[in-house]
Amino acid sequence: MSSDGNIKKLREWLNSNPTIQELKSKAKELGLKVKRMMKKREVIKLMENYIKKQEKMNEMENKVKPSSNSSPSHPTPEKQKSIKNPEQEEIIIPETYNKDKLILMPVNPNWIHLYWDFSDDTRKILSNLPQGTRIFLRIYDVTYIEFNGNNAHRTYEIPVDIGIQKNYYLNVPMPNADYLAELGYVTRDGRFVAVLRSNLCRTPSNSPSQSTRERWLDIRKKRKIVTPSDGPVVKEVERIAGSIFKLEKEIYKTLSGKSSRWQLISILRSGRGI
Amino acid sequence: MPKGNILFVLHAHLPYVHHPQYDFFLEENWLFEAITETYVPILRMLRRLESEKKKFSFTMSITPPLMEMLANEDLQQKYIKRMEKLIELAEKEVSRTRSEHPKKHKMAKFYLEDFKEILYIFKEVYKGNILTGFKEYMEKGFVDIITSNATHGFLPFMEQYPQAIRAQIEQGVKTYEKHMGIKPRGIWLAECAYFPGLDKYLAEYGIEYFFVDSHGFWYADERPRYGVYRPVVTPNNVFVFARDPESSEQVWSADIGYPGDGRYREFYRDIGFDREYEYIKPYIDPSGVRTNTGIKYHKVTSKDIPQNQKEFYDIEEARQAAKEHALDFLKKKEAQASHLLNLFEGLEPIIVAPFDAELFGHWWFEGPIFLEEFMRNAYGNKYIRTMKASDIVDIVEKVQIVTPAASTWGANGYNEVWLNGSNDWIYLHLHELVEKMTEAASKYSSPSKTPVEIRRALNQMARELLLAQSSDWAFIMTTNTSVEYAVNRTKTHVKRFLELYDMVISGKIDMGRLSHIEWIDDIFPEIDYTMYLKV
Repeated sequence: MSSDGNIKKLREWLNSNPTIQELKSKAKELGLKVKRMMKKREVIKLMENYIKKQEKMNEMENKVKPSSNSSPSHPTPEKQKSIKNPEQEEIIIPETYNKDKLILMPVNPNWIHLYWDFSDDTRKILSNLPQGTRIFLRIYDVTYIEFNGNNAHRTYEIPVDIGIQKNYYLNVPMPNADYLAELGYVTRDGRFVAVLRSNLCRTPSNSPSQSTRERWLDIRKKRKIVTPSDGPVVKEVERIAGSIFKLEKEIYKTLSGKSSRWQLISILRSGRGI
Repeated sequence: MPKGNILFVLHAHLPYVHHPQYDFFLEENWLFEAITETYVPILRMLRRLESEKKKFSFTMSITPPLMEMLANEDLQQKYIKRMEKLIELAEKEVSRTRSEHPKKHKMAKFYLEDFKEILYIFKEVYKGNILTGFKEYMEKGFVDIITSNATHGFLPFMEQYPQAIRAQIEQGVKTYEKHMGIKPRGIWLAECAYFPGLDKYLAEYGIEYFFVDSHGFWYADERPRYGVYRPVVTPNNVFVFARDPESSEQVWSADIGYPGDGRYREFYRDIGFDREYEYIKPYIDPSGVRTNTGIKYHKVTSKDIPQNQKEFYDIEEARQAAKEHALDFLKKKEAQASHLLNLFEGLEPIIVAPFDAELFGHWWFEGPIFLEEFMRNAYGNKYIRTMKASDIVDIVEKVQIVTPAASTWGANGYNEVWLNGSNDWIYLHLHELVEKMTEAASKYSSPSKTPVEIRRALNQMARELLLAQSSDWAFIMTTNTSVEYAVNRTKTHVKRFLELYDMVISGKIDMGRLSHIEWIDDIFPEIDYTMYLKV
């Protein structure tokens, strides 16, 4: 994402007479196509065009978004400008804590997010595996089971590239179910060896209960009563779940000024009902 | 005669933004705008309705970070300064608009008077701390003020760390007590996010009730007989209310909600952007970045009309619209209540309508008028009455026992607003911080035997952790606006936490640095790190 400030800096840098090597590496950083045979002035030209384009885009952005008003629920569309880095320096935080971790988190009834982190020992084990050993994630449906390694209702697996990935979104079939994951590798003779095991993760429910009883509490008499249920007196009208893509569309609509702030907030607060 | 009970819940929340090392900081405006446009107007409404002797009730959550900001003297002074500048600008506008357009001129005069009154209420009536106003109306019995978890952290993502959940709740309870003088009876869970089992922690801290979204009841372990229209109680004896989807939709659905009416004020057209730069420069951000001032002359006109063709706003016309909408909503509630009363064979339905408080005034300028007109006209109504949650908890005699389903009030009803490709990277850090906090706290499990500088460092670690956990940062990353601020805040708190952790573990505390961090992240002065021992 480029912003007025960054572009200004880039222009200043360009005017400071950088070397051809510096120019080329900067251009690559910006995602520009740099050919090996390019001359210095050609690279400069390339970057100047890029700067012009960015400036135009910023200008347009500012035109369609006349407001810089912000609030946490409604932050400002003026990127960058609002930002002061309170410490006036780039904030670098660790990419790993060198700890074994495989964490599942529920996203919605059919998606689970999973991330991992490795200790030095685990990293060593994984990097010393014979050439061509495949790393897998195994997902177990262990709803109402004391898992012992091979009694899951269902077992799924998916190959992962731990060299480039640190997390994963898993599409799982059952809402209101308990899932457990293992990260491991497959030996030459086809055995799965688990290296890390995750926490237990329950997907949220998305349908009414099949239970046929009601429990009641009589507060005055401090008594519990269990009765058969005739079902609810008032029937709910459920909304079909939207997709995350719809959300992106709505965010875009607001960013581009096509819809209002309160409308986006309304959607982001719409739950299952509205 | 039995009536339908309308339970408005206004959730007032802003993340903790205080940068004492700067005279101006753009994001501090979030608070200042909300004070001017939402919080003081709500107090004004309370005073008017009270003086008219109109009985009314609603529930309002004021989150701990918001309480801490409202009570912060530095922020109070900054707000007063900002309002004085704004009044100066409004005075200029009054003379300038005289030759421009009568409608603009009329509004300029309106703003001048309004800003003066708001500053008077803030400075003279409440001596800078408007919390005392809300406290007053709670003590008079008009409103329930409830708390929220400490920094509005998203609790379902702390499920594997009971101590992190307890710390969020404990600090939420303590901060409320500090400002309100009593223990909170109810809580608004950040993002209305609940998972089965969370009620156990609430019960530990004496919380009597909380709220969930509609599907928390629809998909509960047993079906609530009266749907979302009666509270239930969890097996841990905590009352739960569920959102009525109809009320939410009628008021603020993106398609048909009231705020879309053409007569209402247009949010985007602000003189901070419309006036020439040299003129407006002293009233926007000192860095020269144009910002909203709060002075706006245009109305929505129609949704499809471009910003530069919006017509002039008229406050009388808008007031009329808000009145009409309040009466329309009242009619809809009457119809809904009679229908439910019939179905329930005389048992009183409870219709829960929760909203972001900032919708009223900040996003929807005329929202406070709508609310006031609704309350005014609901008084003495034959079919409905307004209610607050604590009253219902006090009078219910028989209640169904139910464990609600995992749910939030976010888009699609679950967790994807706070967990997606734009923000998933934060959780590795948030989880690790909890583990390190717990580890460091266990090393010094007896505070009386812990050297004071270590104690201070541990307490500051707890502050950094709580601040990093605010659900607002993940939310802002999702909305793709102000992202850099949210990313910076997350990283900054992680970094400061780790720095302090290293000091504590090595036993070498850099007092200068510690004091500096205590000064710039100054939430919860009385925090006690030992809450992280409650594993």
